[in-house]
Amino acid sequence: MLSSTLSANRIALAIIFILLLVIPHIASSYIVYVVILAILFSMLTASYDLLTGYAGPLSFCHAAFYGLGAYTSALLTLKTGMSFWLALPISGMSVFLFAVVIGYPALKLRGHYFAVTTFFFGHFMYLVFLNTRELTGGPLGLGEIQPPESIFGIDFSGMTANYYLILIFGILMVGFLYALVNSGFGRLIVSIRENEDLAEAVGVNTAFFKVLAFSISAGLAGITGSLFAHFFRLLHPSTFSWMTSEMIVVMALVGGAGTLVGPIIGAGVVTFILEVMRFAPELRFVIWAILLIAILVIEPRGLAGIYARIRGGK
Amino acid sequence: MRDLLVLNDLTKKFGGVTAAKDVNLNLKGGMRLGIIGPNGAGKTTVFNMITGEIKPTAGTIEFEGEPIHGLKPHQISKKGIGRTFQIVRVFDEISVYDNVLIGALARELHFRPTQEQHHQVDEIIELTGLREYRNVMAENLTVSAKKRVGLATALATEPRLLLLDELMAGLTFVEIDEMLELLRKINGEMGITLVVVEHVMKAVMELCENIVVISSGQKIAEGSPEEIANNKKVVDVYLGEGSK
Repeated sequence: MLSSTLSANRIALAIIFILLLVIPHIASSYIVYVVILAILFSMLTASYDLLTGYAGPLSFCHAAFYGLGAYTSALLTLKTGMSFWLALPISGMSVFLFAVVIGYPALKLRGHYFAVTTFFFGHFMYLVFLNTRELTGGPLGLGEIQPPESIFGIDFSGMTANYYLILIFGILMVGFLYALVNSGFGRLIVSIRENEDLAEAVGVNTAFFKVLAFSISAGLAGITGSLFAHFFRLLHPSTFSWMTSEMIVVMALVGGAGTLVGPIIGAGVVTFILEVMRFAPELRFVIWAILLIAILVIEPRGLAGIYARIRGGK
Repeated sequence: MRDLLVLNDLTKKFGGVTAAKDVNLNLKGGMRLGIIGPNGAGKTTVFNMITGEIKPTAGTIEFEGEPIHGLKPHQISKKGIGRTFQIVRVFDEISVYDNVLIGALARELHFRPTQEQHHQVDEIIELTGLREYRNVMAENLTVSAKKRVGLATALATEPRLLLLDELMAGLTFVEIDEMLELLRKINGEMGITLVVVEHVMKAVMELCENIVVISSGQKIAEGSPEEIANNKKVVDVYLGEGSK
């Protein structure tokens, strides 16, 4: 049973991987664009899952870190003429350090108190993006962002090259997260999620590991933001509003938080459902809300839980 | 030999309520000490002060000659003090094996748990009789098995002093006997000093070499099980004055 599940998983993974590789050559540019969005959202939900799915604290400000990375990278390249290839790691690192500074006091709060704090912090960051007009352009947006400079003779001004660039970063990020959640570090943060007081009593420095998980999660969202900025080339504060943070939470829950693969699938499924429902812009969020409630009532572990049940697990 | 644990005038006040008052204790390494007393006497308060869950209002705690009061629970655990909780606590949604492994990793974090750590976890699981539950999710276990998981996780942190808070509560007579045998092994073979808070008198009397009685936050007696059983003050506290 277990081996057949494993091989079924492998086959599914192989099919998805091959599809991802050939999509720019077989699909319309609209589809490629949607897939890029799905990959970016997968990176956001996967990095979000490290904090909320594995370490436990429920956060509603992931889009703020996404935006912070996007604006940092865009402004570094626009104002200082820095190369994208340097701006990308610098924006990831800056967001990481920023998250350490705010995570240390914020994570002293537990449960709902932390969740509410992140909600307001997310909105605060949105207002900062909106109101620092000299820097971000405010509601007019920040334009003229350049695509990544060409390296190895690859020109990144077109859709296809950007697609592969974002796909590679997506695979690297998921690989990194997979190694992390299966490591000793991953086990310790899960112990915090399961019982913080017990974790502390057996010697886990819970404050330190929560801040670390929070900051790594934020830093990866920052890197995703940098990729988005130089692909989309136009930033607007509304992209990083609480709606986006909420979307990330929903994608992770629909997919199944704490499984890494679940939130990635959730991001893909939700992105496509929302695109397909564009014919009814007013209705799509209503339909979407009903669908979300239905999934969570049927299986609180999300799609990953439904899959496990179908495969004969519990 | 230097005392392993020394409590000096340990006091804890919660607002106007004094939960523990001037508790003094000198514990030698290798001992099995029991702490008994009526409900609300302050036993768990004393435990929680030793493990850092709550800070003493006054007094000092020394472990292996080093002051530890004011340290955080994870720091105290690293110094070599392990504990179990009165209301059983395990990491619910992970396997028994991973529960115990977390104890080992908390003591020494490796990106990949080492061979020695896996080996150590296997040994502890064997010792605590959890082999058949190895891959079972901890939340699905019985109370008795959960208590052993809590004990096993504490053992994986390699403590020199183990504080067990009502480990026997809710166990059947057979399970109590098995647990007593296990505790004797942990004390005798592994050399771990035990302090137990217990309401199950049979367990305390059989296991402990020395017993401290706490009532209304104060230590009212200390001695061998026999001395304690015949101590008039203790009998009064438990059965009410003028009984017999």
